[in-house]
Amino acid sequence: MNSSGASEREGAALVELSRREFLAATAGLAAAWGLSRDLLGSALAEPAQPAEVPSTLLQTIRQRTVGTGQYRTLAASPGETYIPRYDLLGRAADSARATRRRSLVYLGHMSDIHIIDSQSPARLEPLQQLSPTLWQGACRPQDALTVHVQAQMVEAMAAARYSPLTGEPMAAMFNTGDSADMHSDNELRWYIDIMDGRTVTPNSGEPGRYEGPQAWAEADYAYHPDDPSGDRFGPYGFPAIPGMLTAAVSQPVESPGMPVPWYAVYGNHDALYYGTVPIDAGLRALALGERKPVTPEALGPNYLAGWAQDSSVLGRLQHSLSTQFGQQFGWQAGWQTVTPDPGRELYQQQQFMAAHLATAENPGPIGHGFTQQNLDTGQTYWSADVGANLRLFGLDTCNQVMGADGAVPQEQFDWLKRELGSTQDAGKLAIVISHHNSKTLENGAVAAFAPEGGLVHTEEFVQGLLEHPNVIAWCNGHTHINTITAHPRSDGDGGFWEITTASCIDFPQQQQVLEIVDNTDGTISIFTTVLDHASAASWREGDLSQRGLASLSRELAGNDWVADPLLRLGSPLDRNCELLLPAPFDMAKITDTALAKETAAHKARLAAYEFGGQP
Amino acid sequence: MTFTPAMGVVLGGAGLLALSACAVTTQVDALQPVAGDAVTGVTVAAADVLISQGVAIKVVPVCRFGSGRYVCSGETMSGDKIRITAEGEDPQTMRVMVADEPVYTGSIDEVLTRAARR
Repeated sequence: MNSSGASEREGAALVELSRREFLAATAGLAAAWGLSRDLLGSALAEPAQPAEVPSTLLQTIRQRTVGTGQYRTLAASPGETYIPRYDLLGRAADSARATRRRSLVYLGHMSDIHIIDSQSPARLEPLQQLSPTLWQGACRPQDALTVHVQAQMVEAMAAARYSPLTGEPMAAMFNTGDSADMHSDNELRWYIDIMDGRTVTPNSGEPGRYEGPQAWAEADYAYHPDDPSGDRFGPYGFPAIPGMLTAAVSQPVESPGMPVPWYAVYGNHDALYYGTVPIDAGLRALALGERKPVTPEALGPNYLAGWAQDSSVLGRLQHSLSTQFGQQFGWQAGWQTVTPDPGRELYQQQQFMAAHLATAENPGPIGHGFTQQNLDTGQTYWSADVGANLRLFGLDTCNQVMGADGAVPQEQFDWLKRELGSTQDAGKLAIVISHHNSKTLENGAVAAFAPEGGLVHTEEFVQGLLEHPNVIAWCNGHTHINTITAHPRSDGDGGFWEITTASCIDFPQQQQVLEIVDNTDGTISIFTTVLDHASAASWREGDLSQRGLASLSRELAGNDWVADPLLRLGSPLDRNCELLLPAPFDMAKITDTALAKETAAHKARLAAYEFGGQP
Repeated sequence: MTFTPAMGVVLGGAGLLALSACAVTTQVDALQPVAGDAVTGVTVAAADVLISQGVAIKVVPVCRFGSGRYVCSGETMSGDKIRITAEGEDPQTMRVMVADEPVYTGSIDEVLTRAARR
């Protein structure tokens, strides 16, 4: 066994193919991907070895203990090895399992990318001053750097395309929502383009010039990188970084693109304004206009101020009424003029799916889980097979009426249970993916005239998954905190793992890869490996390159005290782990030969990614 | 396009429509922030303590709030009980016990900060 716990056996998968099968597979895949047969043959013949992947197995990133004021820069720290978790097994595992195990599938998991068009008039940053806790995401110091972070995270995911545990090729990646922070066309397009390997200049309005609160002195609730001495970040110790904003909006951001097919689901930010409230005509007009609110005075008369300041139902109603009848306007105070941009249009909920259908065929799949049928019917959830042994279920847990947290509509839950049943009958493993997690599935908001059916919340939802032994994991996001939770069956016979990945916006800006292995002793393990984005642990002063801005974003996020940054790392039991559970069926039904054929197909895709092949 | 008071009326009016279209008893609960909460803080800090102390864990402590305090229960590989208590809705301190032996008593925030710094 090597340092990351891999076995000799894992490299032997392709040995399971006969010479004739190997040659046939090579010829077929070479033709399919436009690769030379010799080149692909060499790639396929290469035995799987744990890949030297830049991951938190090798290096973590932590705050320095000494800083300027309360501000702390970041530095590299030792890596973290896998910690086994036995919650669902209920006993210690056979220590010899590492010499026997075989990889079933290797996956990427991204979540909460939160691409932000920070210059949009519809980004109402002053909300944060009204209520920092309720609207903590309204204005972060790193708002202008989200595309840079996503691109570097895609690079990290691409660097991890071969497993750090076994060296097996990645089969797919799924993204569990909150991709476009403010529901704008720009944000949606930028996020998809970065995933697909296109170049994006993350700017709207006037080319090469940042127009937003981080440049306006009166917005003292915002961090002003050119000179923070007059805002509340300066006294905290945030540094002056002249030119940061200009660099952020003027330099093209390049992305290597995801090396594997990627899937997506709705997050609350993809369904509601600020992930919380419905979008109306006024907001749509505001987004396309040339007036942007700078101070809370600008928000005073509208209903958002009411919601932010007053938690009572009557209070909120009163604010809405006062706005409705125009009793307190004051429109001239607290606004700035910006350059309008049609790309800031706030999209309709359905357009989120449509945008995923308007993407590159490679890495694909077109729709990224959504299909034309989803568009035609309005159904916002889907299922997709990743190889022959795993089915993904992409849910829409967003409450489309109101609220950041989620729930599962009864109709969708009924569909899920039916589909899980047939998946179990087919002898496939199942992973459920959604935006919301078990701590945030209690949203009870319903439209007054909604059809009957109701909403399913955590207890019923978890119980529903537990009824299907082939559900091994529920992967999600939303809280921006690395979290792993065991959901045991009441009879002590296994259960499933809930894996919540952090985010690209708040510290620690981490995502992860997962590998499911058969321990060939009646147990399986899910290995979770946390990834930092591909940028320096310590930001080098003056580095305003793409990579430098991503590094800086992580440092700024680590000091954004409103966001509880240090908590979001989770504990070691939430990061690099081996999550054991009883195998849900006889894993011997999945033959080595079948696995070898799947591995060959995944390797061919990656070879095409590396050498420029096209299907 | 210029933002006008008339648009503001539309903004507020649509908000009113959205408000009135919802079941009043449920909408306030729906407006929750996405941020770290106290139970997460206790859970993470407790795990940080257990790992730093080298405790071999079979069942990771699960924390619940009740009767004015957080109580977390887990189990070691050798079958000993793990118990964490933290008083109040927004606790500042916690007590971590393994097999009735105190492992840590002190600040939650200090544990989280130490774990995130080198």
